[in-house]
Amino acid sequence: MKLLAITACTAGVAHTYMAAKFLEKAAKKQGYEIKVEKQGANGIEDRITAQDVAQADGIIYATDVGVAEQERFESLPNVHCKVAYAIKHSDEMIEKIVAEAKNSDREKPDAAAVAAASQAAEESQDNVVMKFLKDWYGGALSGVSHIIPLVIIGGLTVGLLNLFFGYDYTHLYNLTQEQLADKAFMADFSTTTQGIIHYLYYIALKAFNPLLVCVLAAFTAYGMVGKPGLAPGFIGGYVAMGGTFGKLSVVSGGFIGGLVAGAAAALFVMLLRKIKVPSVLESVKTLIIVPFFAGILTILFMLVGPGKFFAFLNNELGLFLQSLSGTNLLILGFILGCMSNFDMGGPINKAAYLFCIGMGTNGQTEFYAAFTAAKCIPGMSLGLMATLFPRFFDKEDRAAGTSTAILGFCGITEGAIPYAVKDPLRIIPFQMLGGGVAAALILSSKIKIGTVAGGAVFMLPVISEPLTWLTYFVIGVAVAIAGTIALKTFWKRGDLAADLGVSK
Amino acid sequence: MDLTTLTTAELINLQVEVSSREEVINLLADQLDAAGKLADKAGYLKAVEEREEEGPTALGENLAVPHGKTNAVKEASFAMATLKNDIKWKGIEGDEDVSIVFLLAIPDAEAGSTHIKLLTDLTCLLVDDDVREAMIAATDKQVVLDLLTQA
Repeated sequence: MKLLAITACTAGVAHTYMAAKFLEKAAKKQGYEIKVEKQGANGIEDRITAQDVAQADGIIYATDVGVAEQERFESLPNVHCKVAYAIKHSDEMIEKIVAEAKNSDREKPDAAAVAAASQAAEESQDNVVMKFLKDWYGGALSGVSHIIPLVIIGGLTVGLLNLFFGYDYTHLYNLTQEQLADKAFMADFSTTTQGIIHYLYYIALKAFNPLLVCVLAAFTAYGMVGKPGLAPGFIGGYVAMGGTFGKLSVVSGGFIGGLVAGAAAALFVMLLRKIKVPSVLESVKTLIIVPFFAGILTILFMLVGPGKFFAFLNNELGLFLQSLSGTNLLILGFILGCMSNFDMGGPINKAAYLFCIGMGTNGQTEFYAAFTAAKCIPGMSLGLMATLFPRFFDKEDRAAGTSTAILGFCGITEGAIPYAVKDPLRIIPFQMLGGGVAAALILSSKIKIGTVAGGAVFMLPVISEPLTWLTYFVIGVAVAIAGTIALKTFWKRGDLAADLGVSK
Repeated sequence: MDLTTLTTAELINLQVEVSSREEVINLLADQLDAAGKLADKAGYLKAVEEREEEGPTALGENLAVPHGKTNAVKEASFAMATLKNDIKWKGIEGDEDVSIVFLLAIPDAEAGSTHIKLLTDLTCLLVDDDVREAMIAATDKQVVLDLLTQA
């Protein structure tokens, strides 16, 4: 039997937690599983999920104050008592809820229904279009996470080739038609350094094109509708990439095309699933009808339907961004850098990240080079500050300084979050500015990076102009440090509260 | 984690002789005030008093955890006392015998701060029978401090 409990007292520090402990102890003693959600001064801790509710047999409210979001537990058998009573009589409360649960005729829904129900609950908040767009965003993140390994393989291969052979190694793979047809020459060629490099280069190219966009489309669809989305997604991605079918080939849809293909595949799967068939044909539907028609429809959509528009869009966007120079690139870089450091790994940061990765897979890796510098700045600057200027930071932050700097060096922004959360108004602005400055400088100098993932300061070897990049990065860090220290010096915490009209 | 960041040796009292709930609360509140943890002692005592009115803070097992959550508290902290003679404390079913008292001072601070987290850890610690008994039996402040450090 699985039990739930909510504990909440007025101060939210003492009784809430003690009652939780006592209930856990008592449940364990009597051999029941229990999950206790504490609604205290720290907010909701150990939140009970929709799935917990579905699997539970009953809930104990040990509360002196109102229960937050009580509607979550409407369907459950319940008992109620004061917090202090639960501390003293935890055994009795467990016995009570067990008895209550046994009397109840509530049937536990099965796991599938639970998942559907929790989905439905979320669904009801949005209309169909919003729901689809949200799903798409989630799917896109899943897609991007699945292309990262490919990007690493392809990107590092190209990066290493750059490192060892310089940027102009095109002569290595420019083979004539005669050479390619000459079997003896090719056999020889494949055992030479030149030959190996040739193959490496092609592996790298294939990792990018068309494989990467296919995987992106497939896993975008997978993230939205699960396994049935995979095959239509792969095919849609292939079409989006200008994959050829006989003599037919289409404009390359690139990154955007892949995302659209994934969404289209998922959409068709969703629609086809709605078709009602007699239950004998249910397995035929899953095995044949859905993948077949979803695949065909996705191909048609990408070839002749709106997919083509997105392919066009992708191309135009690429051309437009390529044509940008000087001031425009400075502005774009600045915006991307600011976005990167605004929420340090949150949705705004992710939007900039998606954009830069997308541009990178189109071959415009300068966006990711710029983004990499920006995202390394908060960790580096705050870590360094906490070490160099400890008086501006509390004990905890000082202790975390070194590790935060190392995380920043490795391109992980999250280490900076604790600093930002404690003092957002004085920390975030200059992290954004520092990131913006560095990204603007790097983007406008069109510095390339050999990999469009896992960007970090130690990626210097695969950056086309490492010293310039590093200089701009250091400038960004310096701006972030100088600005933040200035803010902390001239805008004291007390003034801050007063300025914002916060009464103490 | 180290709960001694919330208290000091001066705030720990062993085997004190008091005759009432008010007396021990006043004693501990004085110490919190002297240690600079309170901005306004009267305001804090009022909050503790109000909490006592609201419901029992004696939790059985000889333990009482009176507390006040108010902006009269400067810094989250606590003071404790073990009592030579048990005193009567209003419990759930009438008066209870209490021999160990923790007085918590809780600021009206934002949720989730480190100190609030530590205070909640303290209350979890007091649930442990062994810890409580060791504290009641302690004759050396260091024993209590050690128990708090090892939490």
